[in-house]
Amino acid sequence: MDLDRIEQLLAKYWDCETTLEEEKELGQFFNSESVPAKWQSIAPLFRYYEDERKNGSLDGLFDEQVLAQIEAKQEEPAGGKGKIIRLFYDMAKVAAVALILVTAGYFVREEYLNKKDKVDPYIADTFEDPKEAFEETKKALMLISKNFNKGRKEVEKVGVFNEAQEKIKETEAL
Amino acid sequence: MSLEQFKTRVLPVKDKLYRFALRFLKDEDDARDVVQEVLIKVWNKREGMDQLENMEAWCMRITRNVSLDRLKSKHSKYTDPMKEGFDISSGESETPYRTAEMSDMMKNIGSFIEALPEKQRQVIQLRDVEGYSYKEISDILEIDMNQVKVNLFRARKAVKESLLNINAYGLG
Repeated sequence: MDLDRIEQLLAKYWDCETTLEEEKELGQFFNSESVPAKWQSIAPLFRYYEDERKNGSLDGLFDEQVLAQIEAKQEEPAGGKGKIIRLFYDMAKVAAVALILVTAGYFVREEYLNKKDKVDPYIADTFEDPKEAFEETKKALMLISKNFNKGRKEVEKVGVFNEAQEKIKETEAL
Repeated sequence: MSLEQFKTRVLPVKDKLYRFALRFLKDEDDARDVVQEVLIKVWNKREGMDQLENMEAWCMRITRNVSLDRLKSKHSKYTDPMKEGFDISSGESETPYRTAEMSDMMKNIGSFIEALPEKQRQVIQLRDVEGYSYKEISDILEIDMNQVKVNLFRARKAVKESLLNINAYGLG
């Protein structure tokens, strides 16, 4: 190998101006046996790089593991079949939602109809006979009037105070 | 993308992904897990992959993101950067012409590069170890092309100085 050329390449290498091919050339040169003494200190660097390339590698077992995983993956969702299955799942989702809505609707309707059939005692008539109804109403009104009168008696007592107060005010005004 | 294409185009990249993940995580098992996760991710996204201009850089970028996520999720655990995996002197990489002194120096270089700022370390890894172009590195790290160059320049300069120091004083 041309030593001048190596010298040149090395200078370019330190300046980061070498191409990948030139760097490969340098690597080959320094990994060969005949490295001149003046470059003995630089050779280990390129040998180190070479070693790094050789040492850090994965064994064949690794390939097998990865390929086994990939094959396992490949089997489950294989192409067109996967699409059909996915479509089926989507349809199932839609169907499930529809089913829920229909059932809910059914129960709501049931509830509504039940309520409609039942008689509301506050709105519908309770007595058939008008006389009976009259008596019942009278009874109810009497109850109200009785309680009302009871209340008025109490209020009359308060009225006494009121009168007294007004009298005082009158005397004060005089 | 078929499984065959996956095997021929994606799987061979695994070692690069692994080394890159290892740079972040500094744990071999974690890095292995990350690469596995990345490959599964790539497989899941295989439909859009034919439009990608650079699949490898894309994989690297995913690796970076997954690694960073993993780091975030367990940031408390930070292991010593000089753990196993960087012990260059051992293993079958021993070649006849490699002297003990040489491997010592390589170890020093390794720990020096480990100690570089994160960006510089990543850039030098991607460029000098994995051999990516500037454009690819800027894609992978999602930084500006100039940033890539600046970081690489600084990293190489630092490495050069450290090499001279090792040589002059025998210190790392």
